[in-house]
Amino acid sequence: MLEFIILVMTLALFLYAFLAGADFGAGILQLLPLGISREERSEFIGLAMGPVWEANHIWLILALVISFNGFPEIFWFISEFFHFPLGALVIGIIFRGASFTFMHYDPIQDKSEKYYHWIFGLSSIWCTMWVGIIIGDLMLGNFALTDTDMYDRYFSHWLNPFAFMMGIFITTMMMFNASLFLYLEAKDNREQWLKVTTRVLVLMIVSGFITHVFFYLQNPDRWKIFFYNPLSIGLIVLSFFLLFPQYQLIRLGYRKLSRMLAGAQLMAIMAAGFVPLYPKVILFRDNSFYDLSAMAAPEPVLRMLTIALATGCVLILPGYFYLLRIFKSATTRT
Amino acid sequence: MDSLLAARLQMAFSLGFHIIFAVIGMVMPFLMSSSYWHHLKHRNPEALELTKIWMKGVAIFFAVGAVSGTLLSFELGLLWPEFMRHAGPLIGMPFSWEGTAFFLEAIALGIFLYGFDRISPWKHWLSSLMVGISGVLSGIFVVAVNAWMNSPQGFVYVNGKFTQIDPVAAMFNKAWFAEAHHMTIAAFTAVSAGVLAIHSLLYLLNRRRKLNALAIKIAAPIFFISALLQPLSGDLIAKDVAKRQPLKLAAAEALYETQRGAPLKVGPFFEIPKALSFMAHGDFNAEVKGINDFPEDERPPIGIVHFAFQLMVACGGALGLAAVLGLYHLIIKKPLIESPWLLKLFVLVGPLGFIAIEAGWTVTEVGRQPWIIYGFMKTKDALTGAPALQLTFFTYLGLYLFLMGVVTWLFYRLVLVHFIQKDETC
Repeated sequence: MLEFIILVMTLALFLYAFLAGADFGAGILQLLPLGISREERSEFIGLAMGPVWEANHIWLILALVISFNGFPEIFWFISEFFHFPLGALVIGIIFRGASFTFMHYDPIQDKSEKYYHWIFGLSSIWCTMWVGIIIGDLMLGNFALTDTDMYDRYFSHWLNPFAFMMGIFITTMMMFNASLFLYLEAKDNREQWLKVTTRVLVLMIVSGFITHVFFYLQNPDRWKIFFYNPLSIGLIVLSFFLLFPQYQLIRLGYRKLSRMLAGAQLMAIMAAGFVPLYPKVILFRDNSFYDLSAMAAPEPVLRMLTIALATGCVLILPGYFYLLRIFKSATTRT
Repeated sequence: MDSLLAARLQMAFSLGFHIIFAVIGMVMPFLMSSSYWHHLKHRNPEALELTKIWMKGVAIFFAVGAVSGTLLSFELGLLWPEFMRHAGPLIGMPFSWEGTAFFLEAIALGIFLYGFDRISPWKHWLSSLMVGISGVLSGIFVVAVNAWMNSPQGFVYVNGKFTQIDPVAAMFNKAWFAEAHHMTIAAFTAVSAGVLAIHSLLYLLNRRRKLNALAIKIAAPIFFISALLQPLSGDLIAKDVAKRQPLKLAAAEALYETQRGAPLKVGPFFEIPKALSFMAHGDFNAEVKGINDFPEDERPPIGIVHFAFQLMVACGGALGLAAVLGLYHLIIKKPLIESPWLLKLFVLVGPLGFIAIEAGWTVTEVGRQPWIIYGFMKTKDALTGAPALQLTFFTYLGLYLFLMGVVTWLFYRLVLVHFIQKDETC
């Protein structure tokens, strides 16, 4: 039961990172000079991302609901200690959501379009940066439940170079995810999209390496937890070596397979961060920890949550795939 | 402004903003579905165009609602971490079902938006209906959470801890039914009144009369039925509140002294003798508890609750009156569009449903203070210890005002494109 809940929560987070992550990245790509006219780019991005945008958002809500229902203590901790990074993230989500809506549904095309794109792009960077900061902070674990001083409890643990570097890495990762998706979807300017994807990939690898160095410099002991773990290392190496078949698939034009492989790579990277700690999820400065099974809600709550999630899956997934199929036929015809 | 007030105001603005989008998301799909059905049945091009206009409106409001809803799910934890820590497992079940319903709503809306000419017409129509059904279910599940805060059950409270948790009992709490039907009917009243007002105005302005006449024809029956059902629903919830939260009822009526045969205040100067006793207990001579019977530190801000209650009742009364007049027109078989004064009345009462919803939620939420979980956890004990909540509040306030401004502007542009720039067709 508990394993099923953890699986669904992880899956929801993965799908949010993969599907919504692509539109975060697409927002950032809108701001960069890519050698494709802004109008053409924006129209294409809107077309490719639009239809499932609202549905993508709900993966995040699902993860939130599972966490406060099934693991209230962990939810409390994250809400309390990450008050400011989460607050900042939420502001970005509002701007992104609103600007995307306006961009997509404004019936009059005029100069306001330009503002929507700018807001969408800037808030996309803002969000991915904060997501990265939170992930980096959780990996470092520079906090303790006994921190009562205002600065220690709410600020000092995330105000460090590694967390910010992680923000940059996550941003490039989302950009890669988006550029690959857009390249695979593109009918025109394919060469240019391929160039963009390659450049973003290089950027992601470089920033990933720098982030890794910063992690080691910031806290070698924590670094060891992740990088002395054979499974974790294996997953990172796997995600790197999957780039080669990925290249072949792109070259041969296997769009679906290529997209699935990109998902597998992202899943491997996320798992590399999750596996070394599991079933612990949060490691504190004094090496105490939050364990998922120990922190889970009482059994009756987990049982009802399992029923709700299982029913939700049965009801939602067929509809979701049906929507994706309709959307696919819509964009193909367009 | 202290941190508690700042957090409460932030939550109030967030909920007050979100609720508008939530109720539109609940009801507009049914109107959209009706016009689409009209088109499929009668091959009416105006009905198809109306469907598409409403569809755009639904898409805008749904998307902004999804964003503000996401924000709310974060805010619960960011502002009230102690509440979520203890209540999370208790309120999680309705939230899980709400999430499922909301997801289905998003999927059905996506299918409807992109399904024109891609799936069979009746299957397509069904998706529009599904948007509405899942929207209403979503609202009903969320109300279960609020109802639990007003009528907490499904646990044993030992030494400040919620133990022996029974999420099913928590979800099916005693306040849910009353709150859920009152809110659902209020949503139908507010949205249908709003739609009726906009299309009546456009009709009066001679903008595409055929199209607006059809919109009025679709929205009016929903408005009449829901506005007339609302007083009955209000009576049920009043009796429920009188039983479970007598202080809230006393605050709503600003009744300080316990009385038998208590009068109902209507505005600042008028009272209906014994009506409050009847409303609360179904007996003209029943005793209604006054505010002075309760400890001072457990009383809500009386002025706000009383004013909000009066405002809600006044708005509901005006809407009910408009509905009676409209219904009378239908009974004597006179089309609504032939009575300009009635259309003007619809325009006037158009915003009142939304004002009533905001006022009603003010009564519910402010009336429960100082408790966040009635009788068990005070709001101040649920608050985060994070600093600068005042700054956060003003930031969010600015954000919401900005969003409200832009959504209004976008909505205006939608109306402009479809009704102002085009020529009259009559």
